[in-house]
Amino acid sequence: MKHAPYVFVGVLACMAGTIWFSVFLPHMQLGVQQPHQEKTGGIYPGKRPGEAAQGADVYRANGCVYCHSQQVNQTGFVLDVVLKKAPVTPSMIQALKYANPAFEDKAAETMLNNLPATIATGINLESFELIKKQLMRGDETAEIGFVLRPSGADLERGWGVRRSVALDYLYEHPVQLGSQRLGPDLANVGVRLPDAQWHLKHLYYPASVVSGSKMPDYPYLFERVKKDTVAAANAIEFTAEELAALPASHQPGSDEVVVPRKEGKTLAAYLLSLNSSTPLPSAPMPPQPKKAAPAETNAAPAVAILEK
Amino acid sequence: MSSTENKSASAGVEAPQSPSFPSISEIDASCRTPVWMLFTSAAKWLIFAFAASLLATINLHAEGGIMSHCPVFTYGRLYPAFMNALIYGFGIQAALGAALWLMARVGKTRLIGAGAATVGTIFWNIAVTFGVVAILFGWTTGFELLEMPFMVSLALLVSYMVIAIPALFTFRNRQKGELYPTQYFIMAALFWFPWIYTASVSLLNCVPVHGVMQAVVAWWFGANLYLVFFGFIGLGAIFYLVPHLTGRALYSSNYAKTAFWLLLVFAPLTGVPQGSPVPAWLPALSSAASLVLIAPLVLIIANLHQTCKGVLPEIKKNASLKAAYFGAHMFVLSVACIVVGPLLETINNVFSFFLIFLPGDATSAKPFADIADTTRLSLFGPGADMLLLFGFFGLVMFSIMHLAFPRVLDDKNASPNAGGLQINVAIAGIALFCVPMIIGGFLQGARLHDSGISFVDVSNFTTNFIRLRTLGELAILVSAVLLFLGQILMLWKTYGSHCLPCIKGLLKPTTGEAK
Repeated sequence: MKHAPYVFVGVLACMAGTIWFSVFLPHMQLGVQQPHQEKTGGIYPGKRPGEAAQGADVYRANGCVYCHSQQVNQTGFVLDVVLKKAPVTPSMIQALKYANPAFEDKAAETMLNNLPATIATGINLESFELIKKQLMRGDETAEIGFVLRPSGADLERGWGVRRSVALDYLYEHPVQLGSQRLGPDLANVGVRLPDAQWHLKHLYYPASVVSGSKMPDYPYLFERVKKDTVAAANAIEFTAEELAALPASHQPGSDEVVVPRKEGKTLAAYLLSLNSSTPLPSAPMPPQPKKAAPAETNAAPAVAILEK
Repeated sequence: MSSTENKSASAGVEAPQSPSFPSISEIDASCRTPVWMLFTSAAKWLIFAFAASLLATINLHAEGGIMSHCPVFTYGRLYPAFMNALIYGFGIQAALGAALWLMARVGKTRLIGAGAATVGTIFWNIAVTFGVVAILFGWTTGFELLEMPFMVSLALLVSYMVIAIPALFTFRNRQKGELYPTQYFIMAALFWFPWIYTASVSLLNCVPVHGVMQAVVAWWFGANLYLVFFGFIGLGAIFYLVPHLTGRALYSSNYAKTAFWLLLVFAPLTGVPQGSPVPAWLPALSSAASLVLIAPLVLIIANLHQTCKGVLPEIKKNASLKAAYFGAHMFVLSVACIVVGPLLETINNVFSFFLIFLPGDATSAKPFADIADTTRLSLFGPGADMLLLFGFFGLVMFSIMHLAFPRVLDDKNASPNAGGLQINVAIAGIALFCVPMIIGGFLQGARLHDSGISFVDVSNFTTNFIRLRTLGELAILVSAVLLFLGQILMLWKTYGSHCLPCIKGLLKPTTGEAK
């Protein structure tokens, strides 16, 4: 390369190219996003209420994002097998028992009388084909369907009921997606742990409510006041066990109570406002199975949200 | 070009051939003040960065939160302070110091505008100090690598220009002829930083883009900063160092040229993590672009390997050569970390494509684990970044510092192996820092993907690797202190005789008062 000007022009072209492909093209797609109009008339995502919006600043200033992500990931899909129509015959009952060894004769018979019913959950396509084959062996007229469900460790851990999509962050500034999971994901922490008192206790001394937690404590978000003062009305209500779990440096005196400062209170409000469980066209959530065969950890909150 | 460069370089001081052809010692002397100032400030910030990092990680595994009562000493503030000090304090200052010196040396011309660069350095350091203090006190923008407040970013940008424009003028004043790889690698990097920095800061702070676009801009900045800015400065320096220190001509300038253009086109497109909540084509484009990085990587390895074939035993005698040698290997490793996920995914896809033609239903079979998916949001990412930023770029900068520092200060008695201990400690530190992060991150990711393992167990498991990393941070801190002390010693040799009367003069009135 002899001619520096040509190199210079080439470098400028690459500069333009990178911002075109990596910034302008995605912006043309993401920059025009509109909030989603829900069937119930609500708009998603909504703006945060005032206290939670102040809490977002506390979250940012204290660098919570360096340990906590706010994104739920989906790695694939699983199937729930639904038996829609089948005759109540001994061969069918036998086939059902083959398909799912957990069933007993009686249960299988009751199930066949109350179709449609979910007979297996959370399986892959190959197992579905296998189960279908076995059921067809029981009776060729049986109608078998399936429900597709998003799957992934995040969903199984109960960190969310659907994957996160771009729309979830429409009004965030800064967007705190996070790059490390030294702590659990917080995209839905407001739904998962809807108790403000729990969050305050957890921020004050995490191990008092989550045994074995590695999260550092944030005592500077709190202060101790005398019991008889007006400020004591906001005190954290520790149970005797939780008080016993506090180390000496965190123990309030006999006439003292622990009260969140403004930062602590708003941060807890922000955490409670984190909720991305609204169904969206871009991330559909098929109804959760009512009869989940294995007891899943996230079954309770997921159903609770859907019924809300 | 490269062979004449080597001759003059290996001959050390050569008589000037014409009035417009300054001798090497004149060139070095012209760089003196800005280069030593940039390099000592870089070393100072390196000490600060790893002291902060040490405190930050101690926070993560010490029992009972020893520092939690003071907000400044919490992980969430020390960690961004560490990253910013490392990038803006150490990284960019070392890069600019190396750029100024190499532009003058390779262009065989005196540095133009040394005074401006010196003033720029002072202001740059003031701005970085403000930025890091702001982060420690919670005044941060919340975007990774761009945490410094907007006003500080402006000051940084202006100071950068004041330091980098002398390099541009020096380049214009070069001896004419075929451009040497060092020149175009460094010039591209010098143009690249203000471009990405202005674009990202304005898109995040002045006219903020909506929603998740902010994350896209921050990823774009990160990938460009690591691979293009630090990568190019490091590679430019290596293309000077290896031929210069081994006394051989660079094997092929065509290889370097091809690698340059491939990196320039494809490296900026990487950086969007797999599975992020963005349109799927973004991570797909990103992993396709990182797959292309294999080509420049192979070209660079081949070029350097052919250049220094058979001279490796010398690395024990020369600290600079040792640092450059290990730095080049770290480059290979760090690019491998970026490439390995997309590469294995491609092999998986090709494998399952051919399985279509086989009987049976086995299309979902994968010979390799999905590394890109397993390692996301684990320690793997920061570990790989640190390997590139500190393992590759940092070591190459140490190499340049050990070479340039005695020369710009005209210290003729400096031994070529004076920095050997510092380099050894730094290499040990990098190994102890990055290996636990990369391996631990991989294992942590696999555990995060297994919902049968409770999160508390995963975090206990991860803490063991963070403990190991603490040792690495300690070693790097020691090496940074050694580097700084070595520089101070050399500065004292040069300027001590001037300073001594001043210091004595300063001390006298005090003693007089005491009487």
